[in-house]
Amino acid sequence: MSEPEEFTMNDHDDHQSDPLTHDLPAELKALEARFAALSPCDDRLDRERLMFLAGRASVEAAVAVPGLPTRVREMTWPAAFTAMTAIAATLLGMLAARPVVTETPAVQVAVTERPAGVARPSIAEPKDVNTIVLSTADAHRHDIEQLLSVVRIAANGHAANGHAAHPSVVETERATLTPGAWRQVIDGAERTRARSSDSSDIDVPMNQGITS
Amino acid sequence: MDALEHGSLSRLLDEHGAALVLYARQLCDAPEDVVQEAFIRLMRQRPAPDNVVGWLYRVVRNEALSAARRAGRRTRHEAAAATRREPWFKPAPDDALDAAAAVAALESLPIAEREVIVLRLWSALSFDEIAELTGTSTSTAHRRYEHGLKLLRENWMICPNPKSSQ
Repeated sequence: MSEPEEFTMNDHDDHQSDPLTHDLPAELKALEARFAALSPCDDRLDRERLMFLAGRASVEAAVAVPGLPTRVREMTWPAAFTAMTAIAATLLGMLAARPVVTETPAVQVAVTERPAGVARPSIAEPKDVNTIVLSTADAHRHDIEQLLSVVRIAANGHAANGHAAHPSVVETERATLTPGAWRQVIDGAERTRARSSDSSDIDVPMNQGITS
Repeated sequence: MDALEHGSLSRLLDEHGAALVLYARQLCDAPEDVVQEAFIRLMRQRPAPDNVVGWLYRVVRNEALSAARRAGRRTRHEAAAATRREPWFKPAPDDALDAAAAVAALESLPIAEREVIVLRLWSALSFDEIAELTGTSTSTAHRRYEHGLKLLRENWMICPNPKSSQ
């Protein structure tokens, strides 16, 4: 069994061997010896608690990752948590601020039936674009696209003169009759034809340009 | 060098614990906490310091000065009440020198002289080590020691040992 190691500051631990001590007068050396005979209180330290805390500190130091300072090790998980929270908050903000994708409104064409006996408005000379309304009969015309182009030109000219374009005309910018509108026109025409087969105002054959 | 072993810590505590507490008491109001923290820091050291005792005294001094700065924020009354009641030395009935009178004489010294005397008499440090610890030269440490002893003698003459006077 090896000898217990001595914990001393250096080899000349005994202060009586210090050469400077010999320079003291005898009176001071006597006083020094009397004070040195007193022993400091050794019951002030909680020995059990100190040994427990020291052992725990030793184990913590043993399992710690070598090379990393203690402060860095302690800040690793809080830093990771903060970073992930910041990323999540950023993504949530981007999601909330994302522009709303709106559907293009479907073009609706008002289809009205002109009462019998009312003259059809001239399509070649539209007097006021604000009053132009496409009728069922217009839908049955074979030159409906030409009519729409005329209305579009008139609306553009009206807007160019400083007038506000009529909403209904503006909505017909992309207007071609949709299949649903065609079906509505056909159904309406057939009903009209069934009611009065001889007094129909529609002068376009029903089966013209329609394929089922 | 690896970490300090458990048995070595116990031996260190037996040999230097009381002297470290006495030294820390000269500098702050909570010497036990300071010494305990120093030992805990010693166990965290990887590797352990070569000069363990010198390292302990250096850590205790730094911690005690920091604690004294923190305690300075408290009121003077609280600080005085915290330090006045605890004895410094074991009672020695057979000894001619009374412990309470010795404490009173030591407390009358300036802190620089008192620090050197405590380190010299009860920690058994050489003047070179005291000089290194306190950041002075060896001759300054010795001069303070001798001056402190003279002051102690003067105080002792004014207030002699109550036991010897009986």
